[in-house]
Amino acid sequence: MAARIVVTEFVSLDGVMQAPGGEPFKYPGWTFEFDRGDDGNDFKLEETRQSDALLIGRRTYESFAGAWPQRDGPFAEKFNSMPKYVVSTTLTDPEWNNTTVLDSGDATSQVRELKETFDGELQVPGSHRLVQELIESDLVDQINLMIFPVILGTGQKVFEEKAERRNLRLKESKVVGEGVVVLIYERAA
Amino acid sequence: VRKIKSYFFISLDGVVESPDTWHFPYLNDEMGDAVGAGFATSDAMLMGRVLYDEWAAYWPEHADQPFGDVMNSTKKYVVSNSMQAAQWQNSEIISGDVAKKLTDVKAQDGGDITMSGSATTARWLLREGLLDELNLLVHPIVVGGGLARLFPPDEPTIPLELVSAQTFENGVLNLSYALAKE
Repeated sequence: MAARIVVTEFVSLDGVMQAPGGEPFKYPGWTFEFDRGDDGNDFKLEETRQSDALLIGRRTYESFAGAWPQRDGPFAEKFNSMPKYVVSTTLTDPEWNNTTVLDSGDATSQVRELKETFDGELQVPGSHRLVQELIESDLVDQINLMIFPVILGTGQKVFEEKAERRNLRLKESKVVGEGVVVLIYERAA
Repeated sequence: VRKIKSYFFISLDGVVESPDTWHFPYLNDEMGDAVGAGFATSDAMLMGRVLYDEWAAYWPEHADQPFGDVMNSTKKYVVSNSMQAAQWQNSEIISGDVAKKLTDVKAQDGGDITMSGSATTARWLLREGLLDELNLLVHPIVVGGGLARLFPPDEPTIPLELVSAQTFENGVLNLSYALAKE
């Protein structure tokens, strides 16, 4: 039984995924300016509940580990309790509950091994660099995007330019809140 | 007031270049209808010089092709400060104070003005607040390969509002955006 890897990102219309929640960036916390509505919150909550573990890069780990342990509520409960796998060569002693460090010396093979042995859904939020590697190695089974109605104009993108041509299948699409588009893509058959 | 409406075939990674190499497998009646509906209210086209040059070299010789008559007879505005003359039938160069001239064109009587492609011109119109609709037909494909994107890095931030969203059977999205109201 192999795991499913689900990348999930907040993006602008121009595909920028950087620092949606306030990490250092030209436009920190830019998603907070938009109303994703109750239906958008419900989508994120349902998505989070479906995950069995997080697979994240070191920067996203630091951002999450700095925020979620101090919070409560259904998102925090789930994030704090479920297993976290962090791809990093520098992180040695992770303090966040239930965290395992994967040595990113060879991230792809580490993740490939995890994918083969883990049973369930590995969710990948943020994690720009890791996502590039996962896409390149064709390890991504599903991509969930929440597209906010703004052209940010600068910042790291989900799909950087060197991406290879790849067909996808649109599994689900809906509009939530104030013009926020939710899209779920799977690998094309 | 006449609206300027821009249409793009665009991939999930934002590529708009060379749609002839990735768009055709997704062309179906739904997409034809959506594009047709946009052009139904329009009686003029607007484009940048690159697209103008391409079309001006093609359509006069291919008047017997589908859309040939329409392409040749429809009024064409081409934004360019370098062109001296526009030889193609019914075309007009917009140069100098382009923003003011287009504002004047929009205030004239007439139907809407459509654009298909011309990313540089569309971005400029967005920045100037002159673009009324940005219609993106988002194809479920990552094109990559370094092809040009609608939104290259280091552009100003532009807040938008989603006007409508439609999902076609083949997974193409028809997203229509306008500039956010202040």
